[in-house]
Amino acid sequence: MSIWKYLFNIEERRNWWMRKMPPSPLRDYYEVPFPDKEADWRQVDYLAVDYETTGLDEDKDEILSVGYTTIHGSCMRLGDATHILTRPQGVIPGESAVVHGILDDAASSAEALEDVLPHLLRALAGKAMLAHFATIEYHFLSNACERIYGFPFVGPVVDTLALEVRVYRSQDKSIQQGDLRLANARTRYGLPRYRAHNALIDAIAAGELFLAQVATKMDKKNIMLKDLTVVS
Amino acid sequence: MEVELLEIRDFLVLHHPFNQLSIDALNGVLGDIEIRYLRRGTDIRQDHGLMESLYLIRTGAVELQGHDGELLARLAEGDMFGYRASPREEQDDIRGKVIEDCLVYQFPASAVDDLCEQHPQLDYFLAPVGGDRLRDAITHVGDDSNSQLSMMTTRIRDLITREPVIMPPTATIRETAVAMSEERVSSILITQEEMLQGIVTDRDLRNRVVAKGLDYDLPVTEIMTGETCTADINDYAFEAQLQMARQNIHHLPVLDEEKVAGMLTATDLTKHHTTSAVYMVSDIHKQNDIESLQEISTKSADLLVNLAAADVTADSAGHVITSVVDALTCRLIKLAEDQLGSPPVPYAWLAAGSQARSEQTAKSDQDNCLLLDDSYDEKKHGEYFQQLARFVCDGLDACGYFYCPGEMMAITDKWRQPLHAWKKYFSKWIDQPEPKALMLTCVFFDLRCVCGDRSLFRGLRKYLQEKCRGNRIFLAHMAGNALTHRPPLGFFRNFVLIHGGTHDLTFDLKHTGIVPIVDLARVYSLAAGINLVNTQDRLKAVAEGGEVSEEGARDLQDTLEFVSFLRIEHQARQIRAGEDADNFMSPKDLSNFERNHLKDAFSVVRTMQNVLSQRYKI
Amino acid sequence: MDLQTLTYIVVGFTFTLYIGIAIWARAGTTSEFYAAGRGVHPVANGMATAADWMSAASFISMAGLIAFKGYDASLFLMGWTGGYVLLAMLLAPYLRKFGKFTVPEFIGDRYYSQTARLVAVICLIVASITYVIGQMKGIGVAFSRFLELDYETGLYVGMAIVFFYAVLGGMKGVTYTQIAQYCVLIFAYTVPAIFISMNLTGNPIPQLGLFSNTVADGTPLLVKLDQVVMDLGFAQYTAQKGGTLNMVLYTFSLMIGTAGLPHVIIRFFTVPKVKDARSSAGWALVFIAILYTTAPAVGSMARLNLTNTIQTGPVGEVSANLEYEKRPQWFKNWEKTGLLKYEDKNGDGRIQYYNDKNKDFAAKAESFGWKGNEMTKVDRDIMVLANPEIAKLPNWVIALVAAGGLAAALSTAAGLLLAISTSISHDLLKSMFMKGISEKNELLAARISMAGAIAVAGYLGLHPPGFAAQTVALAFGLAASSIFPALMMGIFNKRVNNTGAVTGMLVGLGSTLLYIFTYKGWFFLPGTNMLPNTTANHLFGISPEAFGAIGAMLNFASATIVSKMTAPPPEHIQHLVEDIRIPKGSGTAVDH
Repeated sequence: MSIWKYLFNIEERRNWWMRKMPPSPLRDYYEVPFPDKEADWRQVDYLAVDYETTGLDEDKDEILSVGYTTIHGSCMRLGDATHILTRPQGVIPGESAVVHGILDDAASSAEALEDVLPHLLRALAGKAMLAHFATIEYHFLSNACERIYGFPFVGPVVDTLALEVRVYRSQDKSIQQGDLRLANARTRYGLPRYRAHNALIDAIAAGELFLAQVATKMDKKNIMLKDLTVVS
Repeated sequence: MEVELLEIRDFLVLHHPFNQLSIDALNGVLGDIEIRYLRRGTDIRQDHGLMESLYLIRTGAVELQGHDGELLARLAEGDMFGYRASPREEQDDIRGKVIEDCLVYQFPASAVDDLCEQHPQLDYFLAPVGGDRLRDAITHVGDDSNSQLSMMTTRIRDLITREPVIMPPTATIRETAVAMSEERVSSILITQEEMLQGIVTDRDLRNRVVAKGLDYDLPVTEIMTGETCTADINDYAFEAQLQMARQNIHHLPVLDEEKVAGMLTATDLTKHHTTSAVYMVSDIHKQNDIESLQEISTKSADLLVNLAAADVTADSAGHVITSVVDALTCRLIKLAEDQLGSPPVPYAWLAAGSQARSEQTAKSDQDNCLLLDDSYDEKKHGEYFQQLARFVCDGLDACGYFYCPGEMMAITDKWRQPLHAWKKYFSKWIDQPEPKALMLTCVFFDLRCVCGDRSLFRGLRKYLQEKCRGNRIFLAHMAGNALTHRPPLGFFRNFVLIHGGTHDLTFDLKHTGIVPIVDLARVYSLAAGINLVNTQDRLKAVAEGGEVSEEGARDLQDTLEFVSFLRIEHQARQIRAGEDADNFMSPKDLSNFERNHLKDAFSVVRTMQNVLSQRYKI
Repeated sequence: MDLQTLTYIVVGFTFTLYIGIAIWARAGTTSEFYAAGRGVHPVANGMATAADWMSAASFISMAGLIAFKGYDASLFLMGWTGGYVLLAMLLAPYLRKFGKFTVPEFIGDRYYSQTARLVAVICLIVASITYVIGQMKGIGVAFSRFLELDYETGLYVGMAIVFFYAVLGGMKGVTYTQIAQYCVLIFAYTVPAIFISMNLTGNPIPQLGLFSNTVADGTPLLVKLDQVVMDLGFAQYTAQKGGTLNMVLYTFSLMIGTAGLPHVIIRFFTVPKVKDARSSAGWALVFIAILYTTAPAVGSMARLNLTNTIQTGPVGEVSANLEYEKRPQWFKNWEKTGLLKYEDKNGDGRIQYYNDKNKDFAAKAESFGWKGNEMTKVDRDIMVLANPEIAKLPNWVIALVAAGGLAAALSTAAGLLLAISTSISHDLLKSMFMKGISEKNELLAARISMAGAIAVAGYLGLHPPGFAAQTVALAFGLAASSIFPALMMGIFNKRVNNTGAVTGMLVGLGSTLLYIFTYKGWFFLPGTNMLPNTTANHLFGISPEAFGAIGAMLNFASATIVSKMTAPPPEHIQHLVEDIRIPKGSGTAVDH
């Protein structure tokens, strides 16, 4: 897999999957070209995404809720904000319920992941995915796609955590425990403190952090999408 | 909308007028919100259209400035501005400036209108006319040094709002007057193939036509003012203001290179505020003796400190500080003329070196010369100009701009010559670029007319441009000369410091930091045949001409700005500590981050020098 | 102290001196901004120019060539000296008036054509690389002897050092370094010559010693040399052996080829004043002459010494041939480099060195029991470096010659490589093919092309198409056939237009390359030549090195004909050409 990634950029992989795949919401997603990685960052649409999950292991744990909203032209639109609960197959462990506040009965009335995924994929089409510590979001999504549609998910990803690490590096600062947590990172940009752990508000929080990060960077030069992405 | 947007709704609930709405209504409002992050220093009018949206500040602070640049309000968390929320009568002139990084909730104008229609509570608060209710919230803040400087940083380019109204010289007076009234302008430019021929103002029509009963069908050239002052589109606004004040005129044609680009009127400028430097300069023009000029010029040190504190760019600080010397020079010349009588032949007083480039910081030596008309006769007029030069140079010296140790001043006979003699000098320097000639060329190629007959100066400049362009042998010598000042960076990216003497363990920010860039820019612009003198302007122009890559020019511009900025800060620090300002900086005074940045900056210069040496095979 | 250590010390010292001067000169210029700039004195400038001029070919190869070719090699002296005069008097002043710094710039502007410029750049690159091959050969010889390695390894080491030397700027442009280099060079060249001349003739001035009587038996040196070599079946030393036509053309090729080589022309522009430039050129001629006039003496005496060392007595006597076991140290040292080889063909343990190609003498040699020439390889380029050892001079003199040889080879090679790399990075990339290239990439491109040029020249240095001086002669031939006519017509014939000039250059370069490749192999690759490189096969007896003059004539002819058939150059170009030739100094320029 890693050689495969080495040899082919995501745009080529998209074309490849698209040709191989039977019709499915994932294929619809692949039908739309990815944003140009050489484009100015303002020309690109982003989807700020966050999930609540039963844990951090993408193989065992499950997605409980999905929240997302779009960023278009350096501006985040709350009009597009969406929050969907999903129905897990297993039981929600108590310790995670404390964090996200989603209890079994609420979850049981929710839709199955198979029905939720098409919404998310439709929203993601032609956009770059944006999240704080995006590996989690990316892998959970890719895993879910592989399980449900039989093919993995790829796409350009912007990780606000990775951007923050770069800021630290460029200023030669050492990273202390907890510095990179979403809330703490936001504080440094003077962003308001949100009560954490609702997928949508976390997605918005990550989106705001992203806008702050690029705004701070902007006086340097024209930033292109490829300057921001971790996967592209 | 999603109930999960609680956090945002909760914020709205806390703030008037949204607290008047029901929860359901609020949920509806949420969908119209666009979230934006505005960085400190963003000018909202320029970037996003202040009046196209309603802004609610989530965090951060914004300053609203009125049409005179006076501070209208400081807005903070929960305050609104923009569409339907700012004082109506001056809407167009209001500028919003972000003074602290902001997260704002932005409602597009159409959404605001819809909301107001749905919710009378909002409509009442965000009334389309009469903005009295905001007045309560807005506190007028007194003068603040930071906000005064926008004139310093505004270029004339940004003030010109419309294409110039022009007429060919063949037009009649009547046609001209009709065009003026149709276009609703108080002045009109007479041009031929984009070159300025003259200007006609309302006053000219009044005084020269109506009062004298002139035939309206005469050509307009009969009444136009032919020789007129002009401003360059790249000049700063305050420079134009100074010029108008000095000449007592209200219209200033603006040129881009030689071509007409627009018209600047006194009203355009009064919309922008005056500043301490402008006060200082206008003070200078009121003084009648050297002692009082001397007194005023002592304040120029404070000016540097203020500029450093106000965080203006080094480039504009250079322009501001240079404008004080320019004013002093002009005033001294005026005083000299009062004393000696009017000049027997036309002349131009030229500034050379850093004054010409508008890059002065702390007080420095004077570099100037006098360009006389070709009708100058040594025997008849020599005495007059000698006394004039003596008066001005002595005056400048008394004001702290000391005599140039290299005697590159108008009091030196050699540098007080008619046009043909200057041409001969330059021709000799260019044909025989000996070391001495190159040194002189570096000073005298950066030339700007401070006072006097500009057309005389234009003649010289044109001659120079033709003489240099494409003369690669001369350019190669200039390039070789530009490489004599190297950035203080060792082989291992270490700083190379001065050892011993009064400046032990420091490096020279001027000669090893700024001069190399200035020299590079000079070579580039000579090669490209560009007439500009300011280094930033030169770099910008040569990148467009392809002499240097975009990237290279931008790197050099950033480097120059950074090093100059460090120098200004360093000098301001010294002045505050009561020391004399110098150019010697110790790396210890820099933070780790600044040190690394400075090393990067120097290695940019080194790369560019290496390329130059490669190109000219030096 | 043994020779090896001493050599290291002397070489190390001279290079420290150059670097020291470079640093001192650079620091000196920054200090006093307002101090009246002191110009460099024309004499000093002349020395610097001479140092630029003297390459490995002049220093190492020329005397070697004279040693073995005798009178015929004098054409190098005449050609190069004449070329220098031609350049200084005829071309440089006009080019300078045109205000152009390099030849491609002049050609590009004069023929108002980017194509012409491109062709000029390519001609120069081809000529320059060929010239570098000659330097590489010299560098290989110098380094292999200096480090006691075989020639091949010596060349690799040399290539690496040249690369770093050139990347670091080669101490270019610092006039005082050049002066120091000249001093070391000329000292290293003349001191051994004086010693040897003293030994052989008692006359301390080698130029005079050449025509004096020998100390040994009172016969004139040249007569003795003729006699000694003819005794061994070699051709008479002082006789002309090649065809006259070939000699004349060869000399012309060298002369007019000189004009086009980039690193020499620039020297005339770096002097600020025209007057100073002229007197510098004059002084440079004097300084160059010192070396050039010494070369015949060095060559002849070296040949005499070499022959006498091996053939110690009358030809035919068994004891008159040197025993291999008793061979001197220098013989062993050069054997290590592989540039000197001995094979005991008749198994007598003695060395027989004679011309076995000479049928008459070969028969006579048979009667002595000789079975062919046993010195199977004597590389001519080793002569100057081996000379002081053969003459048994003190060790410090030998070390000094090594230092001089290295300096000559390195400085010229570095200068040329810089010229090549700039031509590629600036003239080709920045000005024509990649206009938006960033400065960082421009530097990088220059380095890559420099490494490329070194690699090409190094490879060809291993399989040289001739002796260093002859390879250099090829470079001159190429420059002569392509650049020189374009320059001349550019200055003196306003009717020649862009099409004509481009056609001329292509015809000149093409025909010359074709002729050279026919005899020397395609791209000098050994074994790919279509005809053997012998006088009998040559067209009218013209050797490939001499063909440049013919190429130039073809260039002139085709350019003139094509120009006649096409539209004349634009008005302003014609005026420009007329203006160039009007003597300077009239005040017209000032009063526009």
